[in-house]
Amino acid sequence: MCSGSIWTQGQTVGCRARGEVSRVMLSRLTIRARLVVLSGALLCMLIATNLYLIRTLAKNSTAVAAETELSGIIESANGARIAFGEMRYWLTDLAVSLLTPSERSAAAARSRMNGYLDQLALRKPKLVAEIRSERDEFEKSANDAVEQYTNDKRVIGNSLLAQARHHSVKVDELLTSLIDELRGDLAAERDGIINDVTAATNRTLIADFFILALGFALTFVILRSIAVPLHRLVGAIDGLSAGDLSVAIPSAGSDEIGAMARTLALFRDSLRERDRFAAEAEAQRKTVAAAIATISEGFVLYDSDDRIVLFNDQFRAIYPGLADIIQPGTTFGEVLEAVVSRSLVDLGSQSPQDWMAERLARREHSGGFAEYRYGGRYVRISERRIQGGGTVAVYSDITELRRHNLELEEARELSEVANRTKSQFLANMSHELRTPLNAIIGYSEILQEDAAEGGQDQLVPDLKKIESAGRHLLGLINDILDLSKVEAGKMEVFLEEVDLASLLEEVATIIRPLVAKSGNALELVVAKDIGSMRTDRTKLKQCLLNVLSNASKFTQNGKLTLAIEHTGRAMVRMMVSDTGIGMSTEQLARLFQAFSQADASTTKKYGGTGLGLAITRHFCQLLGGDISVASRVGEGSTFTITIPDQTAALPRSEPSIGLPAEPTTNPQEESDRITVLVVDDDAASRDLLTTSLRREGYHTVQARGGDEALELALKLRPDAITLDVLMPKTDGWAVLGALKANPALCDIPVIMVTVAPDRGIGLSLGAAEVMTKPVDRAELTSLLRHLLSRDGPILLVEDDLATRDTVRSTIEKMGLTVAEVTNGRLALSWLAENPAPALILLDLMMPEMDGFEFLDTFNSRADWRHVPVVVITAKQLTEAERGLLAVRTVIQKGDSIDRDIAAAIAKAVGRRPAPADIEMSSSSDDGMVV
Amino acid sequence: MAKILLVEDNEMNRDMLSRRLLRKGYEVVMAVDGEQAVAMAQSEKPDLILMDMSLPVIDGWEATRRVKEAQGSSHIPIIALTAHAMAGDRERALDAGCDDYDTKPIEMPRLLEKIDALLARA
Repeated sequence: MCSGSIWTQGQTVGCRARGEVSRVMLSRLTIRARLVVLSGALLCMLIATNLYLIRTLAKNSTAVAAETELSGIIESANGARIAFGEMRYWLTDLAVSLLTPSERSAAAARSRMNGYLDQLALRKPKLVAEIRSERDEFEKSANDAVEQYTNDKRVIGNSLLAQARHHSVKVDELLTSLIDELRGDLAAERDGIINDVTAATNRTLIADFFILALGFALTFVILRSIAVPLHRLVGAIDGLSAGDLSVAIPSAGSDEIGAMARTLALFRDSLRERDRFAAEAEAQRKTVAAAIATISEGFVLYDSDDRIVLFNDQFRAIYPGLADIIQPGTTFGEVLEAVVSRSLVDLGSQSPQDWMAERLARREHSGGFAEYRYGGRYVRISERRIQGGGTVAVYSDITELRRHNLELEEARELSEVANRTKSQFLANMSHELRTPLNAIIGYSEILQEDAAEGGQDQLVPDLKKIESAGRHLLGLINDILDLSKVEAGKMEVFLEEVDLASLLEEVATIIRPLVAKSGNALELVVAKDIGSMRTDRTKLKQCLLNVLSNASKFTQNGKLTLAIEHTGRAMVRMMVSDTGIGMSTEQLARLFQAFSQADASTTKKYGGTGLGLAITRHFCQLLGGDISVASRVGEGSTFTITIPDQTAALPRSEPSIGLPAEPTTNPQEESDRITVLVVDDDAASRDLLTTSLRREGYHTVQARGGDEALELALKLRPDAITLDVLMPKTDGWAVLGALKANPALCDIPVIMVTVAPDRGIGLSLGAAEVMTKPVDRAELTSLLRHLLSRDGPILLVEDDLATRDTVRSTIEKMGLTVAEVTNGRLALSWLAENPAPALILLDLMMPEMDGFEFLDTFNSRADWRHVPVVVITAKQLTEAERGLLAVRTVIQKGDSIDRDIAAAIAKAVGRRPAPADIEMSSSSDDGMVV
Repeated sequence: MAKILLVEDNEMNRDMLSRRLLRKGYEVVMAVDGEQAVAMAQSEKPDLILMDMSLPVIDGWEATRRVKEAQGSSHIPIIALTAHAMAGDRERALDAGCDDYDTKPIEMPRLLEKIDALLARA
């Protein structure tokens, strides 16, 4: 109905709106309820129609019965007329014949007529009564006539007969009118029936039409209420199937379609969500891809089957010769084969097979990196396994970096050479200057004595001036020498217990004459119980003297104060205040620079080299502290020296830590036992390891943290170290790095103990082994035995006969055996055929296979890892070469080679030199003894 | 009185130091190079040797080593005298076998203290 084309838009909308409303209302009912309502309604209509028809039919049949009855009555009326006719006949006959039969027949006819009249009386009583009355008149008249005729009174009889006739006519008339009346009734009845039927038919037709219309309307509405949303739903499903997620889902009623719509909406929402996630993931993927494409390094991601998944252009750029190979799906092995077969990489002296084997082995050790030369370019490859398999590899082109490093290295070497030359020059100069000064001071002293003895006292002051000028010059030379020593890193620090009160007294005694000369007063502010500290006495004294003499130089008729106090965290603070001329900000800024007094003009006025404060600052820093100054022009200056009390750094301050708590036998015996340093921040783990090791006869020392471990390692030189990885502040890796970076400690085997083992990293950083917590005691002790066994000979790898002779004699003097080979290849075959040696002395420059190559192979063998290697070379090593040598001890060929080798051997085979020897051997190379 | 062998190549210093030692009452014999010093350690049997380290022919370290290795002179205490004050000088001297060490220019009281201490020990 609503779709009529002639409807205006507004009507359509109104119609739709109404349809919508009805649907919304209907949608509150379930479809089943709607169908039940529909069939109920149709059924009711059917029943109503039927009832109506039944009622109409019943009414009709009543009408037909009435009509039938009326027909019977009409029959009765006819019978009455016939009976009356007979009666009249027989009475007339009687009147004529006077015969008794006629009389009987007339009586019979009369009786029949009465029967009919009785029936008719039910319907037309009045007319029947009238008929009966007339018939009785007729009968009377006839009977009277018969009487007369009997009596032959014919005339009277005739007149009575005529009278009777008259009544009979009347009866006939009455009967006729009765019949007519009845017929009229019948006709009326029939008309009534016909009318009724017609009306009923009409009404039925109308009712049927309406019912039909209603049924149709209801069916339409209900089916529409189902079909329309269903259609929309189907449309939505089609839309979703086609991937259109913006499709509208029909509003949800409370019916089944509503439920479906809700489900569909959920489905659509989840699809949208999925699309959103997919879009986000895609965006993320694009971002990551863009990021990977943007990084300046080559990047490749391999899956767990080692196939390329992802890479960036920079990676391709590193291997222009592999453009056809580098694509997703290529395996690492294929890339590697192509690299080798196309000769893209510099294999060094290795065979392609060896190179590939080593390259693959390196890849197994996740976390490491390697450097290779591809054509003219150097590439650093860093590979890491990722969780769930797969490998990420980053390729950095380090050609430039390498070049810069080499340049820097060269520059550094040049500057080091220059610096050494400078130091040497200064040392020589000071020697050359001191020799004549020695004579000047000495002779002036002799002359003073001679003059005093010979009674020439007037000469003494002048001679004193010569001596004093000589000593001043000596002071200047000493300062310059000090500074050059500090700058060359050759200044040594000797720690000792320093009684602060006596130090101050000594300083005061020395400085008082100088203070008095400027008319100044010196005040000491020091607590009686100031006690002592551990530091370098001479240097601290020199610092204080420098600052005090500086203060008295720039103060006239004022007051100098020297205050000393302990501050928190084991620091000692010394403050020298004066009431002198003070300094401006600009002067302060240049104060501690060498050869720079506050003002160039001050040199003329006040003398001095301007080195004192620079030296003081260097000394303070050397002692672990520093010096600062606060000053204002005209208001004096305050110099503050703060240096640490090194007592605190000594492990003996921790009675439970450091030295073993177990009752020890005599110290000599203790030091002969093998010492293992156990490093762990967790006391329980530490004790567990300690107990295990003690049971095996090792001497153990504990350290609670990385810093303490390094300190104890330096102090005690343990034979082996077990090192926990996870520790606060300085973790195990850092300690390992520090140990391996220190030439004095790098040969101590370190066993990393960790809950999360990363053997590859550990071994690559120089650990002897990486063990998992909890440590298996048997495994640990067997490992230690293996690491510490020093039974074998010393393997000397050296092509130069003269050096071999020198070294051999040194080794033999120590009572040790030596095996000699002349190049790396022979050394490798010797190692393969013999038990591990106690130590390898390795020359670098050899024919056939040089020391670097030898070490490459040697380092890859885990079972040789514990064998210390000492490199002997005449070559000035570059930083890069030192890097290649990793953490090896390097001995330079030269004057002291035999002593250095003896020290290295002694250390490696466990016959550690006495502390004094260590100090000497360390100071003979460029190290500083602290 | 104790006999001191002064080994010094610089004439002025040799003269100055010997005169001061003589004034303190020591008997002084002198050598001008390492070789002579080793020989005189044997021939003169000094009670103590003051050894300059930078010497011609053989240097003070080597001379010390030889004196200490040779029979008849190994017991003689040696004080190294050097104008070097670089790191390791002291150690190198002691390493070579010197019993003590002093730097130039000589602080007479300090040097006399060291001489007396070593002579007292002998």
